[in-house]
Amino acid sequence: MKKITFLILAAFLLFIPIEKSDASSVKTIGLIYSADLSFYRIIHGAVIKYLNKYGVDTRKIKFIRQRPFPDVVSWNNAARKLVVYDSDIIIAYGSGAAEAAFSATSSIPVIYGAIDHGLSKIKKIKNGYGSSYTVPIASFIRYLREAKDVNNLAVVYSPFEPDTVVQYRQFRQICKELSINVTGIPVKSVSDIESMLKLEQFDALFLTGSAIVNYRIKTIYEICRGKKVPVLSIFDGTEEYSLLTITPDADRIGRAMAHIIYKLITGRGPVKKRHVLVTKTKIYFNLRLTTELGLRIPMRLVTSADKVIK
Amino acid sequence: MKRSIIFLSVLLSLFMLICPDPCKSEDKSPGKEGILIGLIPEENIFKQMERYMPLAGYISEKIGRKVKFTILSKYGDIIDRFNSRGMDGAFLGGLTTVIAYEKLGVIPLVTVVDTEGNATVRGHIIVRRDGVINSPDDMKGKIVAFVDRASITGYLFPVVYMKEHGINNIRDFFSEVFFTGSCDASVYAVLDGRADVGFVNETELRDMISSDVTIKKELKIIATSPDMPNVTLSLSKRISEKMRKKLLDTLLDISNNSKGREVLKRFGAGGFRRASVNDFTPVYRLLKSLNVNVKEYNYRNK
Repeated sequence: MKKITFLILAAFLLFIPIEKSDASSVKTIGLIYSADLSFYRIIHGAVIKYLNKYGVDTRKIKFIRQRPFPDVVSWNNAARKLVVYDSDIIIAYGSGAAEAAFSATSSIPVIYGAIDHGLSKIKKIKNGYGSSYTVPIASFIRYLREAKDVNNLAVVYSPFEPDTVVQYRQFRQICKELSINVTGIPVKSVSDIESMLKLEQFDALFLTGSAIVNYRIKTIYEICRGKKVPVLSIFDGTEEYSLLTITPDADRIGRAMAHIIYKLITGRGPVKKRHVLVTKTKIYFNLRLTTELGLRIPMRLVTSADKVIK
Repeated sequence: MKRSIIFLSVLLSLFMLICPDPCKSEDKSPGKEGILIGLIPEENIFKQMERYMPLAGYISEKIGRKVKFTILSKYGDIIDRFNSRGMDGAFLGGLTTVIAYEKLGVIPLVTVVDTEGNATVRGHIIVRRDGVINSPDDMKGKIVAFVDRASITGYLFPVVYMKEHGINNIRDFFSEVFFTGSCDASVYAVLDGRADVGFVNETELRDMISSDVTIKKELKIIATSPDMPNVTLSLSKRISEKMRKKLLDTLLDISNNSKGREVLKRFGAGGFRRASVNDFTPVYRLLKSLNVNVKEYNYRNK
């Protein structure tokens, strides 16, 4: 009798599905930053934080990090390397790195982050998942006009980072309604920035979410300081150099990405939302630069900004 | 940031209390006390001060007594501090009028009539046009920027609207809930991406759009409240019948002279209309739909 009971029990136990541990279902996660920027690092920190929160032991995951110099060739090389290394998943920060990853593979899931929502084509890619953001471009102009009278604005973007082209067009459209002239400065490589900026005259400079552009934030700041004009920026981590930074909430981007990664690596149900839009922003106002440049102080910014740099 | 707002509000209140008397010296004669009117923070306090100051001067001149305005930092402060600050009256929103009427026994005197001749105002629930919210269901897990618990447009109507759409626990439904203190701040919270859902009355929104054309294209209205009474001046029972009549006549007559019309222009209104408690029936109706007794209504922001 005991033997029969034991056999039944053994047979029963044999058929109970044993859940695989989180780490055993994934070997390698490839990681590409479009440039070594603090904004991307902050988002990735949030990804790790939330993966651990969801019960994934990230110490058991092999991360292969690629922080290439921000240009197309380097992005493509980095993406190909991650494919060769048999990454189970590729995480790409910024549209430059994401485009390279999508070119390199159509089978490995690519989870993108820090890409403007206006880049709609990314949502049609079969192996694409991720979190995009919106920033209120009109708010930049609204606050800027409270600080100084403006007639000519310049926007730096990169044709190699398609979401930054979208941002430039949005900016130009809003300025058109307000009868403000806009000069677009398309930057193809980091080395272009200095010479191109020195040629132009403008009342303020808007930096799009371009890795190529933000990689040279200090140089841009020095040039603008020489011209006595303020800089407006999107990326968290640039606020020391920028009069106003309206940045997407990195924590929310990281959380959305982590949720997708968690679903993919544990296989716990399908990824219901493959593309998550983050609209929450944080505002950083640089009061020190306002005084230094002799600008008016927008009181609303002083009272509502998440961070005021004194 | 909260500290900055409080500091600015206190600074402004002090400034308004000590600012030079806009009327003649006879008002300072012994025995003739000034009239202190409280204001709820409808908008940016500096802008609000610019609007109300000429009105204070005009009334003072007409009634022969100094009229001072004091802006409080929160809607509910008017109720809490009406007696302790020795206020003789207050320009209140629909909900604060009802609370003040029930709790303090104030008497509604006149309601502001807008430039289009309406003594009522509607509230809007707004979201970003480029966002993903089209209905109450889409608001789940989003960030909401209420104005103040003591505001119809900025709290009571939205709560009733949400309840009607099956949202009973706001704190659980939204990922973040905060109070901005004024309608324009709620709109800017949505415009700046600090909140997904905001609230504003139509007059304030119209003013904001007229000064910045881009706002209209950025926002989307997803619901509008029924007509609610506009801002109403209510007086303390302490004010004599004679003085009440004087104030009433002054304000009802304001649009009949050029100086008054100039004051109204700066105030951003078309005139005033005599108010009565019956005007506030829509407010009582909203409170009833939440099964809330006005005397027990919690108007303090948490």
